[in-house]
Amino acid sequence: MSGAQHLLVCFDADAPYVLSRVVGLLRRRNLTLQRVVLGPGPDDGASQLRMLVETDRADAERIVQLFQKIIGVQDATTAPADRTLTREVALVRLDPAGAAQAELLDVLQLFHATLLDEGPEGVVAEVTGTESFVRSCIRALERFGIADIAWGGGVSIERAPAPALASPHLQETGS
Amino acid sequence: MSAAAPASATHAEPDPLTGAGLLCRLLLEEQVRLVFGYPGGAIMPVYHALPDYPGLRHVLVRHEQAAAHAADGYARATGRPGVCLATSGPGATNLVTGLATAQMDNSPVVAITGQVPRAVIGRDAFQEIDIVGITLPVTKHSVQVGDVSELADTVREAFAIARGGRPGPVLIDIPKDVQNQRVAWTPPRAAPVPASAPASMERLREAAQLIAGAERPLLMVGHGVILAGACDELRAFAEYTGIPVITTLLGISAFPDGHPLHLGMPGMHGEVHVNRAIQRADVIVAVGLRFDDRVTGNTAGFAQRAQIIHVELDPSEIGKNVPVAVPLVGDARLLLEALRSAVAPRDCPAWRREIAGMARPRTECFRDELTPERILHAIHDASGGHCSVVADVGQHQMWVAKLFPYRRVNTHFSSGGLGTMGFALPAAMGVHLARPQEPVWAISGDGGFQMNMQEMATMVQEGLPVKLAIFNNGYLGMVRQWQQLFHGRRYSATPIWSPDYVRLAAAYSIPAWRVERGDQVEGAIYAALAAPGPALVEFVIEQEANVFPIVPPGASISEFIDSAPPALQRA
Repeated sequence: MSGAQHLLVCFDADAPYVLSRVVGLLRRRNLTLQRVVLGPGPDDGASQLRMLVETDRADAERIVQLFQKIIGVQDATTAPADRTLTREVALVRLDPAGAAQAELLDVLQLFHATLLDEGPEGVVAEVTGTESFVRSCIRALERFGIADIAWGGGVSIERAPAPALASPHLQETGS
Repeated sequence: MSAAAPASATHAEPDPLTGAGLLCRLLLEEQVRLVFGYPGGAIMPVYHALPDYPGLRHVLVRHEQAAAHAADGYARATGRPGVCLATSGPGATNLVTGLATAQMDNSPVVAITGQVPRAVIGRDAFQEIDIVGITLPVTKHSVQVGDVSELADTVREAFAIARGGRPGPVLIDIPKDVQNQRVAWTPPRAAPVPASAPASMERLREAAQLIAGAERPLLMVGHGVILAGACDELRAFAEYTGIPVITTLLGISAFPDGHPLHLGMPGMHGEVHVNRAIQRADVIVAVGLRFDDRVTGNTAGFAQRAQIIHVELDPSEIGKNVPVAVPLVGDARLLLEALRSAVAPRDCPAWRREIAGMARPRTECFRDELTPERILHAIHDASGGHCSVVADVGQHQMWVAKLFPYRRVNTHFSSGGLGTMGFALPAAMGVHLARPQEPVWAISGDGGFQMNMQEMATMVQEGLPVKLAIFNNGYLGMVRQWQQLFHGRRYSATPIWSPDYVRLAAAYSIPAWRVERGDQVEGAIYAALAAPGPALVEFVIEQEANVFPIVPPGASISEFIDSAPPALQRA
């Protein structure tokens, strides 16, 4: 198996056990979830699961077919990670002492970060970007005294134009 | 009875029903007449309601695993869902092996389990277990009913899922307080029938071209042909094209044994000429099978000259284990018909002669005339071929697969995918109840028989005249064979002691015969068949007989062993 990363997107009824079945299917194949985001789907009562896993294209396409067999999954697709755009988000809470420093605003401005909350207990800043951009921002904030970080996301979307990758028949494995 | 009508006007409970009563009515609506089960605390409301529904026959098993296997056997024999019922906790976990067996072999089983009341779920209540979580990977679907208002839709959906598309087991977990909730009957809504997309004409043309140009074509058929009810279409297609037919373990009886086009079983214990035919074939039309590793051997060396046309309902099977040249995704019956109209009549007598020339004599050794052939032919002949055979797992399973002369469709049953020892005896109860008019034989080894022999009591109590055959060689024979061939003859934990089966059967008031010589075979089998109820025949066969040929595990199907060389024994 090559080390290629693939985005797997799964739209499902917002029902108990669907998430469990989807993740269980990856677990059974010993695939590690590198990023996972659960969010609302296009319709009421639906949700979407966006996952980044390390696997090759043929395997990713088969996983999509197996997802489609799960009761409650409405649709599933895949795309190679290099054909996707990904943004991560970090919320950083800083100690009150650091928050008082004047340079903080300069650093936040440099990373297009915004202040979500200000008070005597500290401040919370939000930064969005690629994984390395978020990492750089956090590094730059370290000297102001970080109290807590909520870092996640990895929301990925396939670039336009979108070629149909999850074909019903795996022709490339047929040669 | 119309599916939409209330199931019975005679039942005692007026509307509103309890959840338990509603469940019974829903089962009748789904044409269920038979439930295999075992009562317990968390399912007691359902058992309380059952006597009000005389249209539902309950078969009390001796272990919940047997309930799942019996429901599986019933489902395989009828094509309709088989139902099993168990309480929470250990009752539910005991179903798991049976559900996994049904999942691997695509059998529509609906399991209903009681659960502790909703108020105590998650508090480690007495006999509480997360059975939905446990069964997630071994069922097609599993679900807990959160409120009685969901019960009707859940049960109807469960049956639709179990029998729809590629069939499989579904588990419904019902908390005890939901079984006691009151609810009004709601008639079913008209559900839209999902339209199956027809296979593309382009693909059909590609397949037809490959078949027309093939010099060494083969048909390989599996369980999907039986599930799709496509055996007539298969035979018509084979006879129209003259293409020889290979049947996998679960494809056995999809095509008549003894037909001039039938070759037999492929794979690990396939005959040499069958595997060689695969290796020489230029086109393989594979119908309703999944290229299991017991069929392909090492896939890198499987059918390297062949272009494979894969007729399969489940798109996720295409290219899973072997490369496929032309996928035809859809219903096997329709696709075989479409293929037949897309190709011109053809024949390949030279190829069939070539395959016949590769056949080798059988090399299995038995003392006396007490051979699997003799036993299996006697079982067949005793009922003029009008019987069903349920094989357990092990050496006898391979003999039953290879030597029983199947003439009729869907008369062979076995746990193929999961290879569940102990399957035959309870599954045969289900097959009998599906086909009460003809004999069913449960054929087990001395190992597998002892895994579920408690079900003899069920047969007696319920009056199920299943005929039991035990191939007793004093070993877990298939494992012993591997130890002999691949583990330097170190018989670790394979010698297995048996009780006196004739006296054991007598304790259950079941007539029994012990056969120790070849000339006793026919007499015992005819006597067992003539007995009005269940009967048992123990065959004391050669202790160290092997199933030959055998493809060594991990090897290509070009390789095989058909004798136990002394060098290997000393290794």
